[in-house]
Amino acid sequence: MSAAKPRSDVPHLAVTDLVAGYVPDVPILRGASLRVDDGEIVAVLGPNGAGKSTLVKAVAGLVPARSGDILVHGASILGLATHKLVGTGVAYVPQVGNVFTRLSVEENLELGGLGGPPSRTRQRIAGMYALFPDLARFRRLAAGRLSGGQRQMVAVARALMAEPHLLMLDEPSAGLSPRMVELVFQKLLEIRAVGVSILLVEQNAKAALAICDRGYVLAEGRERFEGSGRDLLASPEIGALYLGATTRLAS
Amino acid sequence: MIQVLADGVVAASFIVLGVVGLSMIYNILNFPSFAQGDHIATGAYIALGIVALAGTAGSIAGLSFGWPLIGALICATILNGLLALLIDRSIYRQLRLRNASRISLIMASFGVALMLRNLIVLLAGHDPQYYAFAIQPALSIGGARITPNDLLAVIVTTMMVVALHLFLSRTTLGKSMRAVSENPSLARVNGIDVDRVIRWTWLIGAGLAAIAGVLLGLSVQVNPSMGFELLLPMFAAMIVGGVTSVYGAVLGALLIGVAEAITVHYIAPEYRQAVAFLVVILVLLARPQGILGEKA
Repeated sequence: MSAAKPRSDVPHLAVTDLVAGYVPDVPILRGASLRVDDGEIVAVLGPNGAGKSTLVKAVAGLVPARSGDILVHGASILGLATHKLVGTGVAYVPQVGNVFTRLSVEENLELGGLGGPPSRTRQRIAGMYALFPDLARFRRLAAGRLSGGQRQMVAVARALMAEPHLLMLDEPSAGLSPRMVELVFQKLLEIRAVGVSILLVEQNAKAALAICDRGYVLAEGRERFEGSGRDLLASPEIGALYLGATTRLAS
Repeated sequence: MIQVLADGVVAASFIVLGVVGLSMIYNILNFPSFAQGDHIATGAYIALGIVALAGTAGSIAGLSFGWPLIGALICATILNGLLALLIDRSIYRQLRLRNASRISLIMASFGVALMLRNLIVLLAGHDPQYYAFAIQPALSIGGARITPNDLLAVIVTTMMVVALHLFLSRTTLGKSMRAVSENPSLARVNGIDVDRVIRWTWLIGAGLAAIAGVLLGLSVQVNPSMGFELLLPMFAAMIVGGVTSVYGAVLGALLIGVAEAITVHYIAPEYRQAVAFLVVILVLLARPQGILGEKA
Protein backbone atom coordinates (compact mmCIF):
# COMPACT_ATOMS: atom_id res chain seq x y z
CA MET A 1 0.00 0.00 0.00
CA SER A 2 2.88 2.39 0.64
CA ALA A 3 4.61 4.28 -2.11
CA ALA A 4 7.68 2.81 -3.77
CA LYS A 5 10.93 3.47 -1.94
CA PRO A 6 11.89 6.97 -3.06
CA ARG A 7 15.31 8.13 -4.16
CA SER A 8 17.35 8.99 -1.13
CA ASP A 9 18.73 12.23 -2.62
CA VAL A 10 15.26 13.83 -2.82
CA PRO A 11 13.93 15.08 0.55
CA HIS A 12 11.09 13.02 1.99
CA LEU A 13 9.36 16.24 2.84
CA ALA A 14 10.08 19.78 1.68
CA VAL A 15 7.94 22.66 2.87
CA THR A 16 8.66 25.99 1.16
CA ASP A 17 7.36 29.45 2.15
CA LEU A 18 4.17 27.93 3.51
CA VAL A 19 1.37 30.31 4.49
CA ALA A 20 -1.47 28.50 6.21
CA GLY A 21 -4.18 29.01 8.83
CA TYR A 22 -7.67 28.01 9.81
CA VAL A 23 -9.26 31.32 8.80
CA PRO A 24 -8.47 33.18 5.56
CA ASP A 25 -6.45 36.40 6.16
CA VAL A 26 -5.31 35.18 9.59
CA PRO A 27 -2.32 33.03 8.73
CA ILE A 28 -0.65 31.13 11.55
CA LEU A 29 2.22 30.03 9.34
CA ARG A 30 3.75 33.03 7.54
CA GLY A 31 6.21 31.62 5.08
CA ALA A 32 7.66 28.61 6.90
CA SER A 33 10.16 26.32 5.21
CA LEU A 34 11.78 23.07 6.27
CA ARG A 35 12.89 19.76 4.87
CA VAL A 36 13.34 16.21 6.11
CA ASP A 37 15.95 14.08 4.34
CA ASP A 38 16.18 10.32 4.13
CA GLY A 39 16.82 8.72 7.51
CA GLU A 40 16.72 11.96 9.50
CA ILE A 41 15.03 12.84 12.75
CA VAL A 42 14.07 16.51 12.48
CA ALA A 43 12.68 18.42 15.45
CA VAL A 44 10.45 21.48 15.21
CA LEU A 45 10.60 23.57 18.37
CA GLY A 46 9.32 26.92 19.46
CA PRO A 47 7.07 28.74 21.89
CA ASN A 48 3.32 28.21 22.14
CA GLY A 49 1.48 29.67 19.18
CA ALA A 50 4.52 29.58 16.92
CA GLY A 51 2.65 27.40 14.45
CA LYS A 52 4.38 24.07 15.12
CA SER A 53 1.19 22.00 15.17
CA THR A 54 -0.29 23.99 12.28
CA LEU A 55 2.74 23.04 10.21
CA VAL A 56 2.18 19.28 10.50
CA LYS A 57 -1.59 19.71 10.20
CA ALA A 58 -1.08 21.63 6.96
CA VAL A 59 1.09 18.79 5.64
CA ALA A 60 -1.69 16.37 6.67
CA GLY A 61 -4.23 18.48 4.78
CA LEU A 62 -6.16 19.34 7.93
CA VAL A 63 -5.38 23.07 7.68
CA PRO A 64 -5.66 24.72 4.26
CA ALA A 65 -2.48 26.16 2.76
CA ARG A 66 -2.88 29.67 1.28
CA SER A 67 0.44 29.83 -0.55
CA GLY A 68 3.81 28.13 -0.68
CA ASP A 69 4.28 24.46 -1.42
CA ILE A 70 4.50 21.06 0.28
CA LEU A 71 6.50 18.42 -1.58
CA VAL A 72 6.57 14.75 -0.63
CA HIS A 73 9.36 12.93 -2.45
CA GLY A 74 9.54 15.85 -4.84
CA ALA A 75 5.82 15.91 -5.76
CA SER A 76 3.44 18.59 -4.53
CA ILE A 77 0.67 17.34 -2.24
CA LEU A 78 -1.15 20.69 -1.95
CA GLY A 79 -4.89 20.09 -1.99
CA LEU A 80 -4.53 16.35 -1.46
CA ALA A 81 -7.42 14.87 0.54
CA THR A 82 -6.27 13.91 4.03
CA HIS A 83 -7.19 10.25 3.59
CA LYS A 84 -4.83 10.00 0.62
CA LEU A 85 -1.76 11.25 2.51
CA VAL A 86 -1.00 7.82 3.92
CA GLY A 87 -0.68 6.52 0.34
CA THR A 88 2.21 8.92 -0.29
CA GLY A 89 4.21 7.28 2.49
CA VAL A 90 3.62 9.94 5.15
CA ALA A 91 1.98 8.95 8.45
CA TYR A 92 0.82 11.46 11.04
CA VAL A 93 0.25 11.09 14.79
CA PRO A 94 -1.86 14.00 16.10
CA GLN A 95 -1.18 15.41 19.56
CA VAL A 96 -4.61 14.69 21.03
CA GLY A 97 -7.29 12.22 20.02
CA ASN A 98 -4.69 10.05 18.32
CA VAL A 99 -6.23 6.66 19.12
CA PHE A 100 -9.77 5.37 18.65
CA THR A 101 -10.66 5.01 22.33
CA ARG A 102 -13.72 2.78 21.80
CA LEU A 103 -11.86 0.39 19.51
CA SER A 104 -9.55 -2.30 20.81
CA VAL A 105 -5.79 -1.92 20.50
CA GLU A 106 -5.77 -4.51 17.74
CA GLU A 107 -8.61 -2.80 15.85
CA ASN A 108 -6.68 0.47 16.03
CA LEU A 109 -3.71 -1.25 14.42
CA GLU A 110 -5.88 -2.94 11.78
CA LEU A 111 -7.30 0.43 10.71
CA GLY A 112 -3.76 1.78 10.46
CA GLY A 113 -3.00 -0.91 7.89
CA LEU A 114 -6.08 -0.37 5.74
CA GLY A 115 -5.76 -1.20 2.10
CA GLY A 116 -3.04 -3.78 2.43
CA PRO A 117 -3.71 -7.50 2.03
CA PRO A 118 -4.96 -9.13 5.28
CA SER A 119 -1.90 -11.40 5.51
CA ARG A 120 0.37 -8.34 5.35
CA THR A 121 -1.73 -6.58 8.00
CA ARG A 122 -1.42 -9.54 10.39
CA GLN A 123 2.32 -9.64 9.76
CA ARG A 124 2.61 -5.89 10.50
CA ILE A 125 0.56 -6.24 13.68
CA ALA A 126 2.94 -8.97 14.87
CA GLY A 127 5.81 -6.60 14.07
CA MET A 128 4.20 -3.85 16.16
CA TYR A 129 3.76 -6.20 19.12
CA ALA A 130 7.46 -7.01 18.82
CA LEU A 131 8.34 -3.30 18.84
CA PHE A 132 5.87 -2.50 21.66
CA PRO A 133 5.59 -5.68 23.77
CA ASP A 134 3.19 -3.98 26.21
CA LEU A 135 0.55 -3.64 23.52
CA ALA A 136 0.32 -7.38 22.90
CA ARG A 137 -0.99 -7.86 26.43
CA PHE A 138 -3.75 -5.29 25.88
CA ARG A 139 -4.69 -6.24 22.32
CA ARG A 140 -8.36 -6.91 23.16
CA LEU A 141 -8.73 -3.93 25.49
CA ALA A 142 -10.42 -0.69 24.37
CA ALA A 143 -7.60 1.78 23.70
CA GLY A 144 -9.36 4.37 25.87
CA ARG A 145 -8.62 2.30 28.95
CA LEU A 146 -4.84 2.45 28.51
CA SER A 147 -2.49 4.88 30.26
CA GLY A 148 -1.26 7.98 28.43
CA GLY A 149 2.07 6.38 27.57
CA GLN A 150 0.49 3.18 26.30
CA ARG A 151 -1.94 5.19 24.18
CA GLN A 152 0.97 7.06 22.65
CA MET A 153 2.50 3.66 21.78
CA VAL A 154 -0.78 2.61 20.13
CA ALA A 155 -0.87 5.88 18.19
CA VAL A 156 2.69 5.45 16.92
CA ALA A 157 2.16 1.76 16.13
CA ARG A 158 -1.07 2.60 14.30
CA ALA A 159 0.78 5.15 12.15
CA LEU A 160 3.60 2.68 11.41
CA MET A 161 1.09 0.05 10.23
CA ALA A 162 0.91 1.88 6.89
CA GLU A 163 4.66 1.33 6.35
CA PRO A 164 5.43 5.04 5.97
CA HIS A 165 8.74 6.54 4.87
CA LEU A 166 8.11 9.57 7.05
CA LEU A 167 6.46 9.66 10.45
CA MET A 168 5.17 13.04 11.68
CA LEU A 169 4.55 13.28 15.42
CA ASP A 170 2.86 16.20 17.15
CA GLU A 171 4.15 16.47 20.74
CA PRO A 172 4.43 12.79 21.59
CA SER A 173 5.78 13.72 25.04
CA ALA A 174 2.74 15.80 26.07
CA GLY A 175 1.30 14.66 29.37
CA LEU A 176 3.79 11.82 29.84
CA SER A 177 6.03 11.20 32.84
CA PRO A 178 9.77 11.81 32.25
CA ARG A 179 10.41 8.06 32.34
CA MET A 180 7.69 7.52 29.71
CA VAL A 181 9.08 10.33 27.54
CA GLU A 182 12.44 8.62 27.59
CA LEU A 183 10.82 5.33 26.58
CA VAL A 184 8.85 6.87 23.71
CA PHE A 185 11.91 8.71 22.39
CA GLN A 186 13.97 5.52 22.65
CA LYS A 187 11.33 3.88 20.42
CA LEU A 188 11.65 6.73 17.92
CA LEU A 189 15.37 5.94 17.58
CA GLU A 190 14.49 2.27 16.98
CA ILE A 191 11.95 3.30 14.35
CA ARG A 192 14.48 5.49 12.58
CA ALA A 193 16.93 2.59 12.64
CA VAL A 194 14.57 0.57 10.41
CA GLY A 195 14.55 3.34 7.81
CA VAL A 196 11.67 5.63 8.75
CA SER A 197 12.44 9.36 8.80
CA ILE A 198 10.82 11.36 11.58
CA LEU A 199 9.46 14.89 11.84
CA LEU A 200 8.99 15.66 15.51
CA VAL A 201 7.08 18.67 16.78
CA GLU A 202 7.96 19.17 20.44
CA GLN A 203 7.45 21.44 23.41
CA ASN A 204 10.00 19.37 25.33
CA ALA A 205 13.05 20.87 23.63
CA LYS A 206 15.62 19.08 25.76
CA ALA A 207 14.32 15.61 24.98
CA ALA A 208 13.76 16.37 21.29
CA LEU A 209 17.17 17.97 20.71
CA ALA A 210 18.85 15.01 22.39
CA ILE A 211 17.64 12.59 19.72
CA CYS A 212 17.28 14.74 16.59
CA ASP A 213 19.78 15.18 13.76
CA ARG A 214 18.58 18.65 12.93
CA GLY A 215 16.13 21.06 14.46
CA TYR A 216 14.19 24.13 13.49
CA VAL A 217 13.06 26.82 15.91
CA LEU A 218 9.75 28.26 14.81
CA ALA A 219 8.46 31.64 16.01
CA GLU A 220 5.57 33.71 14.76
CA GLY A 221 4.89 31.37 11.90
CA ARG A 222 8.40 31.19 10.43
CA GLU A 223 11.55 29.19 11.07
CA ARG A 224 14.06 31.43 12.86
CA PHE A 225 16.93 29.06 13.46
CA GLU A 226 18.09 25.83 11.91
CA GLY A 227 20.91 23.69 13.19
CA SER A 228 22.05 20.38 14.55
CA GLY A 229 20.50 19.26 17.80
CA ARG A 230 23.73 19.90 19.65
CA ASP A 231 24.17 23.43 18.28
CA LEU A 232 20.63 24.46 19.09
CA LEU A 233 20.89 22.98 22.56
CA ALA A 234 24.16 24.84 23.19
CA SER A 235 22.96 28.24 21.96
CA PRO A 236 22.08 30.43 24.94
CA GLU A 237 20.35 32.93 22.68
CA ILE A 238 17.93 30.35 21.34
CA GLY A 239 17.34 28.89 24.76
CA ALA A 240 16.47 32.22 26.30
CA LEU A 241 14.45 33.62 23.44
CA TYR A 242 12.50 30.71 22.10
CA LEU A 243 12.67 27.54 24.06
CA GLY A 244 11.49 28.88 27.38
CA ALA A 245 11.55 27.02 30.65
CA THR A 246 12.35 23.60 29.23
CA THR A 247 15.86 24.60 28.18
CA ARG A 248 16.49 26.57 31.34
CA LEU A 249 15.97 23.26 33.08
CA ALA A 250 18.43 21.74 30.64
CA SER A 251 21.22 24.24 31.19
CA MET B 1 -47.42 -11.07 31.67
CA ILE B 2 -45.76 -13.23 29.03
CA GLN B 3 -48.27 -11.87 26.52
CA VAL B 4 -47.31 -8.31 27.49
CA LEU B 5 -43.63 -9.08 27.03
CA ALA B 6 -44.33 -10.65 23.63
CA ASP B 7 -46.32 -7.59 22.55
CA GLY B 8 -43.50 -5.38 23.81
CA VAL B 9 -40.86 -7.27 21.84
CA VAL B 10 -42.97 -7.03 18.68
CA ALA B 11 -43.44 -3.29 19.17
CA ALA B 12 -39.71 -2.97 19.88
CA SER B 13 -38.80 -4.72 16.61
CA PHE B 14 -40.00 -1.83 14.46
CA ILE B 15 -38.30 0.71 16.74
CA VAL B 16 -35.04 -1.29 16.67
CA LEU B 17 -34.86 -1.42 12.87
CA GLY B 18 -35.55 2.32 12.66
CA VAL B 19 -33.34 3.48 15.49
CA VAL B 20 -30.21 1.75 14.18
CA GLY B 21 -30.22 4.12 11.22
CA LEU B 22 -31.02 7.10 13.44
CA SER B 23 -28.13 6.24 15.74
CA MET B 24 -25.62 5.53 12.95
CA ILE B 25 -26.48 8.77 11.15
CA TYR B 26 -26.29 10.70 14.43
CA ASN B 27 -22.86 9.30 15.25
CA ILE B 28 -21.30 9.47 11.79
CA LEU B 29 -22.90 12.61 10.32
CA ASN B 30 -23.22 14.28 13.72
CA PHE B 31 -26.88 15.30 13.54
CA PRO B 32 -30.18 13.68 14.52
CA SER B 33 -32.16 13.08 11.34
CA PHE B 34 -35.81 13.93 11.87
CA ALA B 35 -36.51 12.30 8.51
CA GLN B 36 -35.64 8.81 9.75
CA GLY B 37 -39.32 8.05 10.48
CA ASP B 38 -40.31 9.05 6.97
CA HIS B 39 -37.58 6.85 5.48
CA ILE B 40 -39.49 4.00 7.16
CA ALA B 41 -42.66 5.11 5.36
CA THR B 42 -40.95 5.47 1.96
CA GLY B 43 -39.58 1.95 2.33
CA ALA B 44 -43.06 0.60 3.08
CA TYR B 45 -44.54 2.44 0.08
CA ILE B 46 -41.80 1.36 -2.33
CA ALA B 47 -42.59 -2.24 -1.37
CA LEU B 48 -46.31 -1.49 -1.74
CA GLY B 49 -45.69 -0.21 -5.25
CA ILE B 50 -43.77 -3.33 -6.20
CA VAL B 51 -46.48 -5.54 -4.68
CA ALA B 52 -49.13 -3.63 -6.65
CA LEU B 53 -47.26 -4.52 -9.82
CA ALA B 54 -46.32 -8.08 -8.94
CA GLY B 55 -49.19 -9.11 -6.66
CA THR B 56 -48.93 -11.00 -3.39
CA ALA B 57 -50.15 -14.33 -4.69
CA GLY B 58 -49.84 -17.31 -2.37
CA SER B 59 -48.95 -17.72 1.23
CA ILE B 60 -45.82 -19.02 2.90
CA ALA B 61 -46.21 -21.12 6.04
CA GLY B 62 -49.15 -19.28 7.59
CA LEU B 63 -47.92 -15.79 6.73
CA SER B 64 -50.39 -13.42 5.11
CA PHE B 65 -48.35 -13.07 1.93
CA GLY B 66 -46.42 -14.92 -0.74
CA TRP B 67 -42.94 -14.81 -2.23
CA PRO B 68 -43.49 -11.62 -4.23
CA LEU B 69 -43.55 -9.67 -0.96
CA ILE B 70 -40.17 -11.09 0.02
CA GLY B 71 -38.84 -9.89 -3.34
CA ALA B 72 -40.51 -6.51 -2.79
CA LEU B 73 -38.92 -6.28 0.67
CA ILE B 74 -35.45 -6.86 -0.75
CA CYS B 75 -35.97 -4.40 -3.62
CA ALA B 76 -37.42 -1.79 -1.23
CA THR B 77 -34.40 -2.15 1.08
CA ILE B 78 -32.03 -1.37 -1.76
CA LEU B 79 -34.15 1.34 -3.42
CA ASN B 80 -34.82 3.07 -0.09
CA GLY B 81 -31.07 3.12 0.54
CA LEU B 82 -30.46 4.64 -2.88
CA LEU B 83 -33.19 7.23 -2.26
CA ALA B 84 -31.44 8.25 0.98
CA LEU B 85 -28.14 8.43 -0.91
CA LEU B 86 -29.73 10.71 -3.50
CA ILE B 87 -31.11 12.96 -0.74
CA ASP B 88 -27.70 13.06 0.94
CA ARG B 89 -25.94 14.01 -2.30
CA SER B 90 -28.42 16.71 -3.22
CA ILE B 91 -29.08 18.20 0.23
CA TYR B 92 -26.96 17.16 3.22
CA ARG B 93 -23.71 16.91 1.27
CA GLN B 94 -24.18 20.43 -0.09
CA LEU B 95 -24.57 21.65 3.50
CA ARG B 96 -21.50 19.70 4.67
CA LEU B 97 -19.40 21.20 1.88
CA ARG B 98 -20.43 24.65 3.14
CA ASN B 99 -19.56 23.69 6.75
CA ALA B 100 -23.19 24.11 7.77
CA SER B 101 -23.92 24.03 11.50
CA ARG B 102 -25.62 21.10 13.15
CA ILE B 103 -28.85 23.08 13.51
CA SER B 104 -28.90 23.68 9.73
CA LEU B 105 -28.62 19.95 9.12
CA ILE B 106 -31.41 19.26 11.62
CA MET B 107 -33.68 21.81 9.95
CA ALA B 108 -32.82 20.32 6.56
CA SER B 109 -33.86 16.90 7.87
CA PHE B 110 -37.20 18.40 8.94
CA GLY B 111 -37.59 19.61 5.37
CA VAL B 112 -36.71 16.19 3.98
CA ALA B 113 -39.22 14.62 6.37
CA LEU B 114 -42.05 16.88 5.15
CA MET B 115 -41.02 16.39 1.55
CA LEU B 116 -41.04 12.60 1.78
CA ARG B 117 -44.35 12.44 3.67
CA ASN B 118 -46.08 14.73 1.20
CA LEU B 119 -44.56 12.96 -1.77
CA ILE B 120 -46.16 9.77 -0.44
CA VAL B 121 -49.54 11.49 -0.07
CA LEU B 122 -49.22 12.90 -3.58
CA LEU B 123 -48.42 9.54 -5.14
CA ALA B 124 -50.44 7.13 -2.99
CA GLY B 125 -53.03 9.20 -1.11
CA HIS B 126 -53.87 9.51 2.58
CA ASP B 127 -55.81 6.29 3.01
CA PRO B 128 -54.32 3.33 4.86
CA GLN B 129 -53.32 0.47 2.61
CA TYR B 130 -52.44 -3.19 3.13
CA TYR B 131 -50.04 -5.63 1.54
CA ALA B 132 -52.54 -8.48 1.84
CA PHE B 133 -55.85 -9.17 3.50
CA ALA B 134 -55.47 -12.83 4.38
CA ILE B 135 -56.72 -13.68 7.89
CA GLN B 136 -53.99 -15.05 10.13
CA PRO B 137 -54.69 -17.41 12.97
CA ALA B 138 -52.36 -16.49 15.85
CA LEU B 139 -49.78 -19.01 17.01
CA SER B 140 -49.41 -19.91 20.65
CA ILE B 141 -45.81 -19.85 21.78
CA GLY B 142 -44.94 -20.44 25.43
CA GLY B 143 -48.24 -18.99 26.63
CA ALA B 144 -48.18 -15.94 24.37
CA ARG B 145 -50.34 -15.53 21.28
CA ILE B 146 -48.54 -14.00 18.33
CA THR B 147 -49.43 -13.77 14.64
CA PRO B 148 -47.03 -15.33 12.13
CA ASN B 149 -46.37 -11.86 10.64
CA ASP B 150 -45.38 -10.45 14.04
CA LEU B 151 -43.22 -13.48 14.75
CA LEU B 152 -41.51 -12.87 11.42
CA ALA B 153 -40.88 -9.25 12.42
CA VAL B 154 -39.16 -10.37 15.63
CA ILE B 155 -37.09 -13.01 13.82
CA VAL B 156 -36.02 -10.68 11.00
CA THR B 157 -35.12 -7.94 13.50
CA THR B 158 -33.05 -10.36 15.58
CA MET B 159 -31.24 -11.52 12.46
CA MET B 160 -30.55 -7.93 11.43
CA VAL B 161 -29.16 -7.02 14.86
CA VAL B 162 -26.85 -10.05 14.80
CA ALA B 163 -25.80 -9.21 11.23
CA LEU B 164 -25.17 -5.59 12.26
CA HIS B 165 -23.03 -6.72 15.18
CA LEU B 166 -20.94 -9.00 12.95
CA PHE B 167 -20.65 -6.21 10.39
CA LEU B 168 -19.46 -3.63 12.94
CA SER B 169 -17.08 -5.95 14.78
CA ARG B 170 -15.64 -8.09 11.96
CA THR B 171 -15.54 -6.16 8.70
CA THR B 172 -13.14 -3.40 7.72
CA LEU B 173 -16.03 -1.17 6.66
CA GLY B 174 -17.78 -1.75 9.98
CA LYS B 175 -14.65 -0.91 11.95
CA SER B 176 -14.12 2.14 9.73
CA MET B 177 -17.66 3.26 10.60
CA ARG B 178 -16.94 2.96 14.32
CA ALA B 179 -13.70 4.86 13.76
CA VAL B 180 -15.44 7.70 11.88
CA SER B 181 -18.20 7.89 14.49
CA GLU B 182 -15.62 8.42 17.21
CA ASN B 183 -13.03 10.62 15.52
CA PRO B 184 -13.55 11.57 11.84
CA SER B 185 -10.35 13.58 11.67
CA LEU B 186 -8.19 10.69 12.91
CA ALA B 187 -10.09 8.37 10.56
CA ARG B 188 -9.04 10.55 7.62
CA VAL B 189 -5.45 10.58 8.86
CA ASN B 190 -5.66 6.78 8.90
CA GLY B 191 -6.57 6.73 5.24
CA ILE B 192 -10.28 6.08 5.73
CA ASP B 193 -12.41 7.66 3.00
CA VAL B 194 -15.03 9.35 5.20
CA ASP B 195 -17.33 10.14 2.25
CA ARG B 196 -17.50 6.45 1.42
CA VAL B 197 -18.36 5.64 5.04
CA ILE B 198 -21.13 8.26 4.93
CA ARG B 199 -22.60 6.70 1.78
CA TRP B 200 -22.72 3.28 3.42
CA THR B 201 -24.29 4.78 6.53
CA TRP B 202 -27.24 6.05 4.49
CA LEU B 203 -27.55 2.79 2.57
CA ILE B 204 -27.65 0.74 5.76
CA GLY B 205 -29.74 3.18 7.81
CA ALA B 206 -32.39 3.64 5.14
CA GLY B 207 -32.23 -0.03 4.14
CA LEU B 208 -33.06 -1.12 7.68
CA ALA B 209 -35.75 1.57 7.80
CA ALA B 210 -37.36 0.00 4.73
CA ILE B 211 -37.41 -3.39 6.44
CA ALA B 212 -39.01 -1.75 9.48
CA GLY B 213 -41.61 -0.15 7.20
CA VAL B 214 -42.56 -3.37 5.43
CA LEU B 215 -42.77 -5.38 8.68
CA LEU B 216 -44.80 -2.62 10.35
CA GLY B 217 -47.04 -2.46 7.28
CA LEU B 218 -47.62 -6.21 7.50
CA SER B 219 -48.34 -6.03 11.22
CA VAL B 220 -50.61 -2.97 11.20
CA GLN B 221 -51.12 -1.02 7.99
CA VAL B 222 -49.31 1.20 5.52
CA ASN B 223 -50.09 4.91 5.84
CA PRO B 224 -48.16 8.13 5.15
CA SER B 225 -47.49 8.97 8.80
CA MET B 226 -46.61 5.41 9.94
CA GLY B 227 -42.92 6.29 10.20
CA PHE B 228 -43.35 9.75 11.64
CA GLU B 229 -45.34 8.20 14.50
CA LEU B 230 -42.30 6.02 15.29
CA LEU B 231 -39.96 9.02 15.44
CA LEU B 232 -40.55 9.88 19.12
CA PRO B 233 -40.14 6.29 20.35
CA MET B 234 -36.97 6.04 18.24
CA PHE B 235 -35.50 9.19 19.75
CA ALA B 236 -36.50 7.97 23.22
CA ALA B 237 -34.77 4.65 22.52
CA MET B 238 -31.60 6.29 21.24
CA ILE B 239 -31.36 8.67 24.18
CA VAL B 240 -32.15 6.14 26.88
CA GLY B 241 -29.69 3.67 25.35
CA GLY B 242 -26.87 6.21 25.20
CA VAL B 243 -26.53 8.20 21.99
CA THR B 244 -22.97 7.11 21.23
CA SER B 245 -23.86 3.41 21.12
CA VAL B 246 -25.83 1.56 18.44
CA TYR B 247 -26.15 -1.36 20.86
CA GLY B 248 -27.52 1.01 23.48
CA ALA B 249 -30.14 2.16 20.98
CA VAL B 250 -31.21 -1.46 20.43
CA LEU B 251 -31.53 -2.02 24.20
CA GLY B 252 -33.36 1.29 24.52
CA ALA B 253 -35.84 0.21 21.85
CA LEU B 254 -36.57 -2.99 23.76
CA LEU B 255 -37.14 -1.00 26.94
CA ILE B 256 -39.48 1.47 25.21
CA GLY B 257 -41.37 -1.32 23.41
CA VAL B 258 -41.98 -3.27 26.60
CA ALA B 259 -42.88 -0.11 28.56
CA GLU B 260 -45.45 0.75 25.90
CA ALA B 261 -46.92 -2.75 25.93
CA ILE B 262 -47.22 -2.71 29.72
CA THR B 263 -49.03 0.63 29.55
CA VAL B 264 -51.41 -0.54 26.84
CA HIS B 265 -52.17 -3.68 28.82
CA TYR B 266 -52.49 -2.39 32.38
CA ILE B 267 -53.26 1.33 32.07
CA ALA B 268 -54.60 2.68 28.78
CA PRO B 269 -53.26 2.91 25.22
CA GLU B 270 -53.41 6.74 25.30
CA TYR B 271 -50.74 6.84 28.01
CA ARG B 272 -48.35 4.72 25.95
CA GLN B 273 -45.89 7.45 24.97
CA ALA B 274 -46.19 9.28 28.30
CA VAL B 275 -45.11 6.16 30.19
CA ALA B 276 -42.33 5.50 27.68
CA PHE B 277 -40.94 8.95 28.34
CA LEU B 278 -41.35 8.51 32.08
CA VAL B 279 -39.10 5.45 31.74
CA VAL B 280 -36.62 7.57 29.78
CA ILE B 281 -36.60 10.19 32.54
CA LEU B 282 -36.14 7.59 35.29
CA VAL B 283 -33.25 5.90 33.50
CA LEU B 284 -31.55 9.22 32.76
CA LEU B 285 -31.90 10.33 36.38
CA ALA B 286 -29.96 7.24 37.43
CA ARG B 287 -27.62 7.21 34.42
CA PRO B 288 -27.47 10.55 32.61
CA GLN B 289 -25.35 9.15 29.79
CA GLY B 290 -27.89 6.43 28.98
CA ILE B 291 -27.64 2.66 29.40
CA LEU B 292 -24.50 2.13 27.31
CA GLY B 293 -23.48 5.74 26.75
CA GLU B 294 -20.17 7.24 27.73
CA LYS B 295 -19.80 10.11 30.12
CA ALA B 296 -19.23 13.31 28.23
